[in-house]
Amino acid sequence: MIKVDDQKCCYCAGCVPTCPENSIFLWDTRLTIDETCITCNLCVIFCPVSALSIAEDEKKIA
Amino acid sequence: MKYDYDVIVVGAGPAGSIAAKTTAEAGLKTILLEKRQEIGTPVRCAEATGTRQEIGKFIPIDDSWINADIAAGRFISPSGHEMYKNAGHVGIMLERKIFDRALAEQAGDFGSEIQCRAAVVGLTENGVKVSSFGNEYEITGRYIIASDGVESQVARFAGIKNTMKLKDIHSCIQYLVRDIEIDEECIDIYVGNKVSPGGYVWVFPKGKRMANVGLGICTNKSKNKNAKAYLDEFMEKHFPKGKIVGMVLGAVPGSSYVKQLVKDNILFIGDAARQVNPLTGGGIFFALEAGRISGEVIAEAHRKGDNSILQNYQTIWDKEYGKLFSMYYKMRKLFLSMNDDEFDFLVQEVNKVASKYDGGTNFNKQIPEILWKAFTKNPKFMLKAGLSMFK
Ligand SMILES: Cc1cc2nc3c(=O)[nH]c(=O)nc-3n(C[C@H](O)[C@H](O)[C@H](O)COP(=O)(O)OP(=O)(O)OC[C@H]3O[C@@H](n4cnc5c(N)ncnc54)[C@H](O)[C@@H]3O)c2cc1C
Ligand code: SF4
Ligand code: SF4
Repeated sequence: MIKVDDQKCCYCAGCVPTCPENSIFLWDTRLTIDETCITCNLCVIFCPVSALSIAEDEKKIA
Repeated sequence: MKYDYDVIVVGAGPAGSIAAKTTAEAGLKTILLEKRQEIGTPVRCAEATGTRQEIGKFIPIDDSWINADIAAGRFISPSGHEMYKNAGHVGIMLERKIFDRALAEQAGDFGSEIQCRAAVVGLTENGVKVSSFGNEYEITGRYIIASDGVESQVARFAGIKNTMKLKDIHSCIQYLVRDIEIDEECIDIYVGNKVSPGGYVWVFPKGKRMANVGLGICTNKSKNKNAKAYLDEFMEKHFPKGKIVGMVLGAVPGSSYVKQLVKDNILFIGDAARQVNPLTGGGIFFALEAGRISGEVIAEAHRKGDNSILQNYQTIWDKEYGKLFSMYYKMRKLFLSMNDDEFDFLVQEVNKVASKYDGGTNFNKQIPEILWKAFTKNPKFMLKAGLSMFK
């Protein structure tokens, strides 16, 4: 799963179009990522302020 | 079937607001749905756009949403070579917060309904599914305009894959900076792989001693460094004493517009259709244009009771802007392949060529020509340019 650091996220929605699974939705100021995420990392690379990251427990599995 | 509305417009950015104004003006029952609680904020834009004359075609000019008039442009190469061109009135700097609101209000004045904090979360057989304050409901409509910006979900709901590859999208950040030395009528552009790989840094005037200072990078070309790190470096070097009073983030498409602009009764416009100049990232003017054209086409289709007319939007757009976009897209590909020596060379050559052009409102259209003339000065570079375009 992808984690959103809400201290960093400025809800610009820029990551949304990079997602091949359409897992990301921006509810005004709240970014949500649903279970369809395949952890491809594209949104993580895109974010201008690095607000996204792969959750620690999944890193270990991968 | 009795529909709630003739036209449902999803997203109240410049594209959607002009579309809603156009269809409402033609007498079609129109509703403009906006996900945000407030139209126009937060801003996702560097706010430079066309001339007063160009923008005045869409809404009566009002100085409350103009921060500055742009007369000149300066390009700065990696080693500091400059090319400066004063071309008279080439554009304006907007206050998007006020501009976007004014556009939506204009749509309202022409009879469109408007709903804020109403997110479209799906398509239904005859319309859209809306989520607002915890309620989900359907709104039916004969035609749907998808003007939901770079994050467009409507396209995806309609089964169109509009995912953007990292190479085709700019990761952007901008600060609104006060108390700095700037030329109040000049836009400055810094190019080079060290300052902003795959994009450029902009310093766009916002009035007295104030500017939008930002950049876009292609994350394919930046190694382990985010856009913010590049901007902080630039600020440190050029405006260490500047006071940052605002911040803007966002994605700018660099891909040229989507192939399919119409699907059944849905028309895609603005950033949702990636109608953004792939080289410069300018999308406001095209959003307004697409809003107008799509609105007019729908009005005609409705009047004649013939949905096949909706395809005219695609035909008109391709005819009007197809060539321009594909040319700018090729140029962007070339820019992505350039190293800093080549940027130095280019800026110097462009400087020589550009002095022969008079500028004025046609300057935008002359830029590609000027660039080509500069390119052809160096055969090796020319060859590389040629190759990169066909890749
Ligand atoms: C950092 C940055 C700098 C830029 N600088 C410039 C510049 O200097 N000059 C220029 O010309 N262009 C610039 N652009 C591009 C320009 O901002 C866009 O091209 C322009 O805003 C596109 O207008 P639009 O109406 O298509 O989309 P938007 O202005 O993005 O509006 C889309 C609207 O749809 C709403 N929406 C989204 N999803 C839904 C939903 N599901 N339901 C309801 N509503 C929804 C959004 O909340 C938003 O209000 C810049 C962009 C960025 C990010
Ligand atoms: S790109 Fe980054 S800042 Fe923008 S919405 Fe996504 S996570 Fe937030
Ligand atoms: S990691 Fe990939 S699939 Fe998951 S939200 Fe990000 S872009 Fe989408």
